[in-house]
This record gives sequence, structure tokens and C-alpha cells, in this order.
Amino acid sequence: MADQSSVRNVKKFLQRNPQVATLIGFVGIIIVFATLSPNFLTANNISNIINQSASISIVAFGMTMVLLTGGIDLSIGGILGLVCVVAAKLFSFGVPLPIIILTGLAIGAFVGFVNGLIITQFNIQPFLVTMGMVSITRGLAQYTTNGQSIFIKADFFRLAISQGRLFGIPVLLYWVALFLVVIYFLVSHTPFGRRIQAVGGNSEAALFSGIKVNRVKIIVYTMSGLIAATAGFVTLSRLSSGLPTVGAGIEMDAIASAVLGGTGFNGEGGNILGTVLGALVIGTITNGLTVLGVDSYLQNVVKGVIIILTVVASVSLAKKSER
Amino acid sequence: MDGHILLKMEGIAKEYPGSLVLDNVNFELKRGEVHVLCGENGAGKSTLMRILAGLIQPTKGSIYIDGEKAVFSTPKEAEAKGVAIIHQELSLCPTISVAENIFLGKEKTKHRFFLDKKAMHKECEALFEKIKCYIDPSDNLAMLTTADQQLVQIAKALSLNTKILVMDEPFSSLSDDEAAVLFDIMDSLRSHGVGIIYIDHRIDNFYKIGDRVTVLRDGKYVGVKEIAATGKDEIIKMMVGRELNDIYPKYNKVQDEIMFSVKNMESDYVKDITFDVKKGEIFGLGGLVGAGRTEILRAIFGIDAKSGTIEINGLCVEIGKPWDAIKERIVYIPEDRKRQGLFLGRSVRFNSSIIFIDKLAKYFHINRKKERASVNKEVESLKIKVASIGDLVSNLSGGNQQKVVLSKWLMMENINLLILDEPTRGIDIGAKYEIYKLINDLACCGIAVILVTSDLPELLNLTDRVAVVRNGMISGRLNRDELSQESVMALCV
Repeated sequence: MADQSSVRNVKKFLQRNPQVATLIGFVGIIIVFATLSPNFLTANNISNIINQSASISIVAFGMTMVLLTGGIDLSIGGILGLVCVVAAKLFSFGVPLPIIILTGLAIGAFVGFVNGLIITQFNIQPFLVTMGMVSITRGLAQYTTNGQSIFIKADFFRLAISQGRLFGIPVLLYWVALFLVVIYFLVSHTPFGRRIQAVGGNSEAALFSGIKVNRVKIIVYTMSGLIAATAGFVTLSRLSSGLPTVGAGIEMDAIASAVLGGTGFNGEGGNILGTVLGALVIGTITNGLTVLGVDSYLQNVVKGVIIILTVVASVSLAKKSER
Repeated sequence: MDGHILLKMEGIAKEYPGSLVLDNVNFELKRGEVHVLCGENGAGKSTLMRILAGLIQPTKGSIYIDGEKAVFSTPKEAEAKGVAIIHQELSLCPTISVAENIFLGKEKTKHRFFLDKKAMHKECEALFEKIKCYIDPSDNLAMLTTADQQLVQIAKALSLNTKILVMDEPFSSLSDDEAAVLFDIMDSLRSHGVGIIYIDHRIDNFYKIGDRVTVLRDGKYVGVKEIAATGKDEIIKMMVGRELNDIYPKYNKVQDEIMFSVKNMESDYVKDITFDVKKGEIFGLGGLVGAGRTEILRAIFGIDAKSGTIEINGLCVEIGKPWDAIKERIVYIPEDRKRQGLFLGRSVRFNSSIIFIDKLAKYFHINRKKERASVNKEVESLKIKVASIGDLVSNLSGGNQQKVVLSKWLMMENINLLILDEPTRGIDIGAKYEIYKLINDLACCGIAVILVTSDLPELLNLTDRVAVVRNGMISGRLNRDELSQESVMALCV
């Protein structure tokens, strides 16, 4: 009897904290890669992994908030690409940095705002609206550069956003940490965060509780666009060039990170720290497969399998807890 | 009617753990008869029909079809014996055509794999001919009016060679003209020898179409009468004649000042709604399910758009949206607690504090210690049974869930108006009693209370005044000394 109840307690704990399962998986993945390749656990590669995960985690924070409202934002990759090339173009015209930054952020926020407006005012499925927005933003990005990539010479920008180091730590990590703290605080410690969770948990009950459901959604999509724009700058600074196709598929990484971190599609979960863990897992898998020399197309296959397995596991856990 | 007995249900009982839903019920249906089955909400009508349809099994009793004993362990078996049910909620698929709905699951095919649309349309037309209505079989179901959709359900039932047709409140969403068409169809089915079991709340309708009526009350068989030879009063008495016991505390004191008033309110669903509620008064809205009671509450609270004036403490207020209502310190406990009241995937703490959350925060930061303390206090005073306030509300019982809904509102201070929509539906008697006491306590603090309930004894025993709603309008008002089951029922039907 004692055994049974402790098994049940472990199950219950896992249901409440799905991140723990991800954490165990994370350790497992590291062990597998470390045994398969001696180059995996070197200092150099670990810093690669962290860098890779950092770029994913920024957009994953935004995605976590969108998922928390019960929605989804597929347009972040498109926004990222558009902001990246527009900024590159402005650099090439010699526009001052602050104006470039403001313009990029405004584009991201505007696209996100439009997403939110259409979703709430016409009551349309978020994935349809944001899917259409992918096409619009990508098209605009291609049009802006005529399909070419634009190289930039902006050392200060590159160093300040991603390439530089401060106290021996890559600058990018400070930015990620800033986002992490702000968004974690917003979601978990503010009334607005509670409202986000309420809207996703049960939007009708949220309305009956006097929450301005549409306003909450519009704000969250706007923030998601803003964050995607930030990621656009990060990408530009890392590549030193504006490529209209960058960011393709990043929404998948973001969704996968959030889901691995315990956030679901019906507004459940929402632990930003879990999302960081999810981003680390995705970053590690991508890096590990590269280190092992797995074909980059096949890497997508493996990633897809892992995402589906996680979703299956989390859905069956949720079903069990209903019983 | 030729006296041949199509269906006999004898000594039917249905027991769920802890409650006897049906107790020794008899029912009989003749060929070519319209037999009304009536009783209050919860009397057991639907359970009896679910047994007939093979959806659930009786604990005791037997069913005879054409004199032969029948056991229906699945709906298919009941269907094979000619039993068809038309439900309150339409059970058709709105996105496909009329013909496809009628032949759903038994499509006609040619060359094995291809639908034979022509043959299906032809047969549909023949069915519609039989009930004398003109619906294009190729129309999408969603394009039809509710009334026509009902007719499609009837046609579908006829396509199954139905001998026994159960119609569960078929008129509840129909206009008078549409109802007249349906009466004609029922009449013609009757002359074709179909036996119809017909459930309705509106007694006037019984006299228009019914031959006999069987009355159930609290799961028990009360009796069967020839409708033509029975007065309306007698039927009402059979329906409601239960003894009341003392589970209804009442100790609120109505004050003189008017706290809340609504004048000439109109929405898409209700019109010409005027009433007022005094401080400390428990004001009841009576009426049948679907009469428009909930719609009145939704309009007051700003869920549905409306016109008309609302005054609180004599001051005119604008309530366009729920947050305006909350600003005026109006509390609305909605009817469907799972859909409208709770965040099931979240904790008790989350649910209880969501409305109050701004008050618990300083510089955008929620003071969790304060939050925990206030929720704990509320949980204690409402006696919500939880291991900790971190428990998910989905794991609580119905009564405790309802208390969580109450708790989230009761953290509000200086409530002016408390609106309760079916606050005790589906919860056990002990929790009911506590909620009754709570309503009294709140009224004693000078709060005005509006109570909507389908539980008639609850309405009669808790309220000071009642307005009865019928077809989206107030059909009559009763003071406490005029309140009786008969007087309320008479205004309902």
C-alpha cells in the first residue's frame, strides 16, 4: 500500500511539474551525446550550446505567453526576418542606430498588434491569422531586399547585441537574462500575468470575472511581435547580414521549447523557467546532432519526432489526471 | 387509437449510488396515441426516456413492446424495435445536407463506394411528403430554421420505421406558428398509427394535442389521466404536490430603500424588463428553463448588449460590459460553473483571487503572502474542503467548486447586488443548506439579491418577492404571501 501511494504521489508530482520529466530527458540526452562524441562536453561546445539555446529562448518566452492565452503565434519567424532585413537596409543607408532599433521594434509591435486585432475583432483562429501573417512578412522581407542578402558593417551593434563579452560572459546571455527576468516576473508575479493565464484557462469565465479578454490578447500578441523583432536584431548581429529567409522554422523551436517546459495548448502551465529548460533541450539536440555529423535535414526529422513524443506524453499525463 | 398497446413499461426503477432516480414507475403507450409525460425538472422524465432508448439500463422493471418483453442494452437495439427520440438539443450535424443527415450512417450507395444522392433525395422527398412539409433535401442543415430542423429530425425518425416517437420539449424553441405546423404533423403521425410520447412543461399544449398524461414527481409515478377529462389545476397539483420540509433557512430582513432597479430593459432575448430589489431583499426570478431568466441576468451584468436604464442606490449607471458591472459592485454567480465560473486547470488560490488580484498587488507585484492569507480566510469561512489552496479545482466536488466560485466574489467589499443563477444545481443537500444560509447572511448585510432557480421549493422558500418570466417577458409578480407552487406554475405555463 505504501508503495502504491508513493507511486501515485510521484505521478501527481509529475503531472503538476511536467518540466521534471523534461529535465530527466535533458540529462539523458546529454549522457547519450557525451558517450557518442568526445567533442560534445568541451568548454567550447558547451558555450555553443548556450548560445544556440539563448536565441531560441527569447522567442520562446513570447510564445509561452501566447500559448498561455490559449492562442499560437506562427508569425514570429516572419517578423524576425522582416525586421532583420529592414534593419540591415537602414544600416546600409547609414541611419543612426537608435532609429534603426526603434523602427525595427515598431514593425514587430505593429505586426503583432494587427495579429491580435484580427484575432479578437473577427474571432478567428490565431493559427490562421498568424499563418497568413507569415506570408505577408516574408513577402515584404523578400521585396525589401529583392531576395538578396545585405551585409552590414556595424561593429558596435554586433558587439553590443551578441558577439561581445562582458566579464567573460557573452553579451547575448545578459540580454536573455533580462528578458527572462522581466517576462518571468510579468507572467508569474503580476496581476496582468494572472489575467493572461485566466484568458487561456477559460476565456468565458475570464469574461464573467470582468477581465477585458480582447485587450489582454491584443497586448500579448503585440508583445510577441516585439520580442520577435528583438530576435531579429539578435540574428542580424550574429550573421552580420540581413537575409530575408532567416528565422524560418523558429516558431517550431519556440513552440517546442514552451511545450517541453510544461506549457500546453489550452492555456495550462506557463512556467517561464520551464521554457528556458525547453530551449536548452532544443538547443542541445540541434547542437549534438551537428557534432555527431547528422545531416541537417535529418536533424529536423529527429527534432520533429522528439516534439511529437513530448506532446503525446503530456496529453496522456493530462488525461490520467482527469480520471 | 385502436386500443392496441404498443409499449408498456412496468415497475421501472433506476438507482445511482446514493440516489434513487426512478422508483417503481409505470408507463403505457397505445397505437395512435399522443401520451404526455410531465413533471417538474428532475422528476425523472428524461431518465425514463433514456431507459426506453437503451442509453441506460433500469435497475428494476421490464419493458414490453407489442406485448413482447424487450431488453435494450444499446440504442441500436431500441432503434431496431422502432423507438426513436427527438432530443431537446438538436442531434443533427449542421455542416452537411438535409439528405445526408437523414441517411447518416445508413447511406445509400451505388457501385458500393459512391453515394447514390438521387435515391436519397427521392426518399427524402417522400418522407417530407408524408409530413406535408417542403424542405429541399440538398440544403445544408445550418441554412434551415430551428423549426425546419425539428422537422428534419422527425423525418429522420420516420425513415427508421418508427412506431414509438419520443419528443422531448419539441416546442421550447418554436414560435406559435411553427408550433402549429408541428401539431398538425403530430396529428397526422397519430392517424398513421405512430405512438408519440411527448414531454413538455406548458400545460396549455397538452390540451391541444395530448390524449393521456402520465405525471412523475421526484422519480415516482403519480398517475395517469385522460387529458380531456382533467382540469389544468388537477395536473398542476399532481406535478407539485410534495411536502416541504425545513431545509430552507430564512432570516433576512427587507429594508425600505431600493438598492437596485432596472427599467424597460431590452436585449435580443428579453424585452420590457422592469423590476427593483430592495436592500436586504431576496428577489426571485421564476419561470421554466429557456424562458429568459438567465438572459435577463446576462443583460444586467453586461454580457449581452441591452437598452434600458439601471439604477443603483438611486443613481443611474451605465453597464456595457462585465467590468462596468463589477465596478458598480454587482456580483454574478453564473449558471454553468464549469464553463463560466471556474478555471478548472488552476488552483483554488488562482480561482479565488482572480477578481481581487489588483488589490493584492503593489507596484505590479502580487503579494503572495497576502494572497495566501486572504484566500485561506475565505476558504475557512466558506468551509471549502481542500487539503491546501494549491489544489486544482477540477479535483473538488461540485459543492466545493461552487463555493470556490462564491469565494472569488465574496472577497469584494461592499457588494451592492448579488446575482445567483441556479446556485445549487447539481450539488448535495448539505452544501445547499450552507449556500442558503450564506444567501441569508449576505442579505442581512444589506445586499440586494436576485435568485434564479429551477428548483421550485427553493424559489418559494428563500425569496421575498418573485417575478415570473415567460417568453422573455415578465408574465406576473407575486409577493411572499401570494407565493405557492400553483400560483408560480400558473404564470409559467
